[in-house]
Amino acid sequence: MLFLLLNPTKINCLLFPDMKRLFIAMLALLAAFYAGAQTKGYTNHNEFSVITYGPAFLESGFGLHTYHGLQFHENMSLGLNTGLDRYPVNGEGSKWFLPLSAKVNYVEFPDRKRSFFAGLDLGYGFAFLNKNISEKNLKYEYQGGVLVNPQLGWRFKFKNSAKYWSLAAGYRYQQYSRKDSYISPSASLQDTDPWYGKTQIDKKYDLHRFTLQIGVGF
Amino acid sequence: MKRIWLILLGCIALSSCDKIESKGMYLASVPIFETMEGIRAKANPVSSPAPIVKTGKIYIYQDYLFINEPGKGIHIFNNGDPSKPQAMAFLSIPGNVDLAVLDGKLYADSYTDLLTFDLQNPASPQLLTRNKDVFKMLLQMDNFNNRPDRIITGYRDSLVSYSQKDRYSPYDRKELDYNQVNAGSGQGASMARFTIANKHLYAVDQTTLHLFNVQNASKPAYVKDIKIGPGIETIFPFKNSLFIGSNTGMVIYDITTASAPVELSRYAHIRACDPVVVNEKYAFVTLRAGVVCGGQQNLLEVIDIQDLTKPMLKNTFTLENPYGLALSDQTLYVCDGKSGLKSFDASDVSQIGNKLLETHKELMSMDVIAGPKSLIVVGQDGVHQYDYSNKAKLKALSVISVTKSN
Repeated sequence: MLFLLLNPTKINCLLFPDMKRLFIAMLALLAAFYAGAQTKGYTNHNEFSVITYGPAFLESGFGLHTYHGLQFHENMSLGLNTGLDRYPVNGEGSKWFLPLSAKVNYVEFPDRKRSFFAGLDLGYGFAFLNKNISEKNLKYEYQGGVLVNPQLGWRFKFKNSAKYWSLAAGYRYQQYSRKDSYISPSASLQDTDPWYGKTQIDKKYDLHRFTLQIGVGF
Repeated sequence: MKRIWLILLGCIALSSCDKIESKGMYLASVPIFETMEGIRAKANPVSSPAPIVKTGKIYIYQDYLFINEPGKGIHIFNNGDPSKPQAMAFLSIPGNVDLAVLDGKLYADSYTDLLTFDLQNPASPQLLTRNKDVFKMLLQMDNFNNRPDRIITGYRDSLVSYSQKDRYSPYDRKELDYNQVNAGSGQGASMARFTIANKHLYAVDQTTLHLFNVQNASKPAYVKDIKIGPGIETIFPFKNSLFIGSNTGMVIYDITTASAPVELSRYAHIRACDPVVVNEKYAFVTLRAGVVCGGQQNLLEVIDIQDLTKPMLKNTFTLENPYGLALSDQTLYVCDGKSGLKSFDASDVSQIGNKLLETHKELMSMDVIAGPKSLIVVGQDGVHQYDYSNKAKLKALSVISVTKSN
């Protein structure tokens, strides 16, 4: 993970098919590191998630998230969580989202070396990273949707440091929709799907996924 | 604490899935159903001449030319002068595909019914009799059905809305999706093919020969059904024999006793569509390969039928895509699909395929009748008539053209 974060060209090759996504992820991470060290009561948690359906990790996607919060209680912090998500959707390739959510974090024993923690994200996943394609007489558009992500995990402090690494599992719910419409740009292309005669389709997706997260924070 | 943790984790892992809800609209050809009663009640046959949209079977009786519009009815022309056929009337008969005329009476099918019209005034034929539910086998939606209470009289385009909910998880047992796609083609129509011989009307559909006694011409009496086998397509009477072409062969019946046909022989050939014509000694059969008929070869077969109980293949010639054929004296006319209309010298049957007299390549033709005054050819663009007094050189007389529907 650390290796990937320090070597952006590798990230580009391995994870990101285009520069736009890389740029967004890097910007978020840089902001996290820069802002992090100075503010008092500020807390940061960066996580890599495997987004999948179950224990065998079939058809997995991933998420990169950075959380910036303020502590308002000894055990609790509240902040913004953002990053990038990639969900494989059956038969339709990968869908990309830019999540932006409010997150509440609860840490059971902030001073101990090892502690249970829980988090809850409530937000929105923007779908603009998916290209709205128009091919022949078909046009389709994506729209993002509600995002919910509760997580439970353990955090382990590094030796003589406020920094910790974490391991958590959770449930991630992401909603989005796709609107297909067939329009007739010319007389030779009809305003229906040539095979099934469809004129328009509205598809609403509710993705209920299981996530496993590994992270670092302070 | 740890236990709760594990339970929660397990619950999440097991309930993960995608739920996809689709809502949409699609254009579909929706069948229009009617009952036979409804069709009968609405019957109002005679109307003024109508444009021909599609040509089906053609029939000549005296100076009149009958052109079937498949599924719709019959166009009646005065063909006294073949160079100037005059449209007289359109007989609207839903579900009609074939017709035959005897002694001034016109017999036509209408889905399951057999109708008899009086042709005393051919501009206004009068319905005399309706034999109900005599043709039970109907071709509908590319399937056969025998439900006269639900007849597909047509299709209309409708915008249909649908909604569908899917659940997906890679851990679910995969089940096969059956996507039922109905090709919305094929108007409902009876499959009947008619012919009249020895005062009897013989109508064949896909599997069965229906026999009617028309000694009382205005009131056909149903005699019986004879099961012949699948894939029947054509029927051709010659003297006291009936030649029935199916897509696997030709069946010859003796009809000396018209009400009790006796099967004489079966001549089997490769699977193909096969119109038949016959003279004293030989039967000429064209085999056409295609999607509907199956088969690989396009052939003209000459079959020796001097002994009707033992038909024997005499010669085979290759054609391009043969449909109907007609025989006039020593000339054989073959509609060879896209290759046009061909005429052959048939005086020597062993050489017939090599003795091409003429090719009218521009004439994409399906069927041909050698009439008393003209050679009538059904082409894609209409019904053509030719003066064929000089066998080697056809002379165009007239065209009844088809109105293209969009």
